This record gives sequence, structure tokens and C-alpha cells, in this order.
Amino acid sequence: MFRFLLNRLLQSIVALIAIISITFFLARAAPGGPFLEEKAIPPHIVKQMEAYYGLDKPLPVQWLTYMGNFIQGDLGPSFGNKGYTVNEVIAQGLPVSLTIGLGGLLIALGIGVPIGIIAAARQNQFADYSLMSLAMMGICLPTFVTGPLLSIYLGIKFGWFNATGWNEPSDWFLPSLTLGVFYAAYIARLSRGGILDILRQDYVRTARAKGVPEWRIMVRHTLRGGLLPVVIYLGPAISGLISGSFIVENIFELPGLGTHFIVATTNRDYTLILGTVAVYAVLILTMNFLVDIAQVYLNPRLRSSTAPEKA
Amino acid sequence: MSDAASIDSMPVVPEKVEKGTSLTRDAWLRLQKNKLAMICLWVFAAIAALCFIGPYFKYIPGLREVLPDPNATHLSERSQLPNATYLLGSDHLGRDIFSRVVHGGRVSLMVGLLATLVSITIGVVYGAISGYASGRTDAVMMRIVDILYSMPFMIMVIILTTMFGNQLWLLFVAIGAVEWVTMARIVRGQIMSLKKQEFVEAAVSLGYSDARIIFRHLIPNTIGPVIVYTTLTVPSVMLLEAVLSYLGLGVQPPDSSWGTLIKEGADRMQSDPALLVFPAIFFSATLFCLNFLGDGLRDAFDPKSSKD
Repeated sequence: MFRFLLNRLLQSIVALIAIISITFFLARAAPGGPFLEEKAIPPHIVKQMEAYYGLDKPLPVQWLTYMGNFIQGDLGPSFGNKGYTVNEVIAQGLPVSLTIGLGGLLIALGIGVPIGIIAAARQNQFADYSLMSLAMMGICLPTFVTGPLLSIYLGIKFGWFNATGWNEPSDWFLPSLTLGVFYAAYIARLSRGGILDILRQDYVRTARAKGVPEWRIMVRHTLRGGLLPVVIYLGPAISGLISGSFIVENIFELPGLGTHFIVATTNRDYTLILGTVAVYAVLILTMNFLVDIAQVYLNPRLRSSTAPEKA
Repeated sequence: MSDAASIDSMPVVPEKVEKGTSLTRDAWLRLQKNKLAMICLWVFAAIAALCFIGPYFKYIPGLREVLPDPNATHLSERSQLPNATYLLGSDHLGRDIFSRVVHGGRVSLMVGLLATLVSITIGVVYGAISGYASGRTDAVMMRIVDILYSMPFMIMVIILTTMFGNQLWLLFVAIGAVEWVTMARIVRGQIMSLKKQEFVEAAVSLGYSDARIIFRHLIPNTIGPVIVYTTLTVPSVMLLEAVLSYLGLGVQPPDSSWGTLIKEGADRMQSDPALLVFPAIFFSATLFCLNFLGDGLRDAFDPKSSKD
């Protein structure tokens, strides 16, 4: 078990280095540069600016410097936001993105898991069919359709929330709901499938034969194994929530990390691109690692073997 | 197996051998019993046919009026409700919404299909090689896949498309290049179990090269899962394209896709809801059909793993 987790940890570190390096070289390989837009700058000044930011050195040297600074937590100055360091920009944007992302995840689990349980308990009955059709619709309605609709109905028509912006404590709800709907639907399908798999196991039949009440079979015997697919899915869901946050921050005009990232790519703001990608990568890899731990905890079969096959 | 015919020593079969139903045909028969999946298949076929044939209506006199030029503006006929001239109404510049949806759909579907093709090609070949090679090669190849799995895909696609210019081909290459990972895993699993079967042993003992065994004998046998997963990849690729286009990073004007149309619609939703509603209906219907069709195909190819 420890070997499994240690393996995963090492793998995460390799992945982190790979992600940052790929982004670094990809960004540099692209045509254009941060100082090309401003045509008024004379060439020798551009040279000086490049020298100041270390952009005149050979690429491998720049890469090494960057990695060295990264390990010390210094992400460098932002080219696009003059006078700000990347750390400051991220410190300002990350809380917004984290709040709506976590809110979205909680909403997705809070809606999805109960729906999945009910549908599985009433398999092939009306409740099952109606809930699963609803979930399918949730999967097929993209965020950029539900977002504007929620914003206009709950925000403007009914006036329950602010349609856009990030000023009041309740402003997290609409963006999180928009993010959460899709994942709620997906999680509902996953948990239904997982629970049904377990319900077919012999030990459930044994429990039934012993006269254990149905709700107790669900709570005590089924949920732990049945929700394993949901737990495994949480890893990919986190990267999904991050890409979803680009859209949601755009729709609700939030000053989050996604907004900064999009602006940074169009401005060729190398350091900010790298900084945001690094933060995203750390978030995703940390979540994946936590999911691995949860998986080991939930699935006893993973505990004994040294290097288990991934489910 | 077709290769058997090339062996000289094989006795000539005098009469026609009883023909068994192939795996694909079996699956097709089973799929036909699944009403919902069949409805989805036909709805999707209808949408796809409309989007791919529709743009040529302008060469046919009688149909030209149904689908006028999607970029032609008629400022005197702005924001009309659906009527005989504008089947789904007109937008704020007097452009025909139906025509714009059809033309946008062609771009969306094309990106969806081509990007899927790219990702399926990479995924199948990579997975097959990894599964067939086994041992250390397999371990290294799968470790790479594991690492790619934890990559923030969307971010890579955004960096690729924004920084290397907005060409349409780059869009689907970028999407295809990040979407192949799951396919590789599925195919690898299939190959690992297939390669232990007798027909592979036979091929090996006949002295066929590894490449020939992989491409002629193993890959054709993975067709079931590949078809299922392809059907499920198309909608996710289309969604990714739409997200990029919505953010203004994907398809660029004068081209439009369902993503850009939905973005335009979302911006003018209060004054002109038709602009959002119609592209969204077509887009969601397509995703809905493909997802259900994929589910149906999964059941058809593997009756044991039906979703209940």
C-alpha cells in the first residue's frame, strides 16, 4: 500500500515537471512575444527589457532558472500586469476560482449521489427512468447554455442573485450551480451503475437471505463499494471543473484564475501562463493523489498488493 | 480469416460454407432492437445530413430560399420571428438563423469527426503496440499515458490554439492530440486478452511480422470497443470545440460553429432569445443522440455489460 502511494507520489512529481516543461517550451516555440504588441518601443529598449527579464539567455538556461525559482515558490514578474508579480495575480484570482470550483463539486456530489442511489434502489421503475433521463439531459446541456440561462432567470428575472460579478457573499452560488449541473448528472449515472454492480454480488444476496432490511443493505453493504467509481471519477472531475471555470468565469464576469489565464495566453504573458498552469497542475495532481488514498481506503483489495492494476 | 486463403496447401472447399454472423452484424441486429438508440441514430443522421448537404442547397434553384447565404444581412428584416422566409427567424443583422445553424453545424461536426479520427488513430496504434509488446516497453508506454492522464488537457489545447494562430486544422489536431489517451487504454486491454488466443499463435507460427499481426489480426478484432468509444468521443470533442469557440479561442469569424453561435446568442439573450435557443437545441440534440447511441452500442457489442 505504501509502495503504491509512494509510486503515485513520484509519478505526480514527474508529471508536474513534465507539465511545466512542456508548457514552457510550447509557449516559447509559439511565434510572437510579450513586447511585440507595443510597437512604440524602440528595438534597443526591447533588448534591454528582454535582458532585464532574462529573455535574451538561451532557452535551456531560462528553463533551469525558472525551475529553480519555481521550487522556491517564486513565479516571477507578470509581463502583462506591469508592477505585479505572478504570485500576486494568482493570490488574487485563485480564491475566486477555488470557491466556485469547490462549490460546484459539493453541489455535484450533493445532487448526483442521492439521485444515483434512488435510481439504483428503484431500478427499471418510473423513478429510475425519469431521474436517468434528467441526468442525460444534464450531461448534454453544456455549461455555456445553462450558465446564461441561470444568470438571466435566477439573476435578472427573479432577482434572487446577482446576474454577474463578484461582490456579495452569495455570488458563488450561480457559478457553482452552473459548474455542478453537468457533474451532478455524470455522478448520478456513475453511482447508479456502481451500486447496481454491488447489488448483484453474492454477499448482498446473503444479507437479503438473512433478512437484513433493504435500506441497511444499501447503507452498510453497498455504498462503500458502489461509490468507488464516483471517487475514482473525482480526479478527472477536478480537471474538468478547472476547464469549466474558464467558461463560467467568462459568463459571470468573475476575476478568477481562468480569466487571468485566458488573457495571459492572448498577451503572451509567459510567466503568468506558466504560473497559472503550474497552480492548476498542482491542484489536479494533489486531488488525484487524495483520490488514490481514498481509493486505497475504500477498496481493501488495493491494500494488500504492492503495485495494483489501475481499475 | 482472409489470410487462410493464401496458404497453398489448403484444400479447396467444394461447396459454400455455412456463413456465421459476424460480430459486427450481431451487434447491429441487437442495436436495432434498442428503440431509443435507433431513434438517436436516425436523428443524428438527419442532423448530420442536413449540415453536410445543406450548404450545397444554394446551387439548387428551388431550395436556395430555404438556406440563404448565412452571412447575408438584411437590415430591414432584423430580429424576425420564425416565418415562411426565415424558418427559424432572423438575427439582429437580419441573417437567417436556420441557415447559420446549418452552416455552423457543418463546422462543429467536421471538427468533431476529424479530431476524433486523429485521436482514434493515435490511441488505437499506441494502445495496440503497448498491449502487444508487453514487458518493459508496455510499462514505459503506460506510464506516459498515466502522466498524460493527469495533464490539464484544456489548458494545453488553449495554449496550442491561441499561440500558434487560429487555423481550423490546428484546432482538431490539438484536440485529437489530447483526447487519445482513454482510447489507448481501452485498446491495450483488448489486445492483451486477444493476443493469447489461438489465431495469434497461428499467425506467429506462420512467421508473420509483428506489424502484420498487430494491424491485420489484432486491431480488426478490437472494432467493437473502438466503435463504442468513438461514438462517445465525438460528443466530448464537439463540446471541447464549442467551449473554445465560446471563449473566442476556437473557430474564428467569418467561419462559425455552434459554439460561436451560442456565444452570440448568450450575449443577446435578453433581447433575442431565439439566437441562443436554436443553436443550443441543435447542439444539445446532437450530443444527446451520440451519447445514447454510444450507450446502445456498448450494450449491443457486449450484452453482458448492459447498463443495469
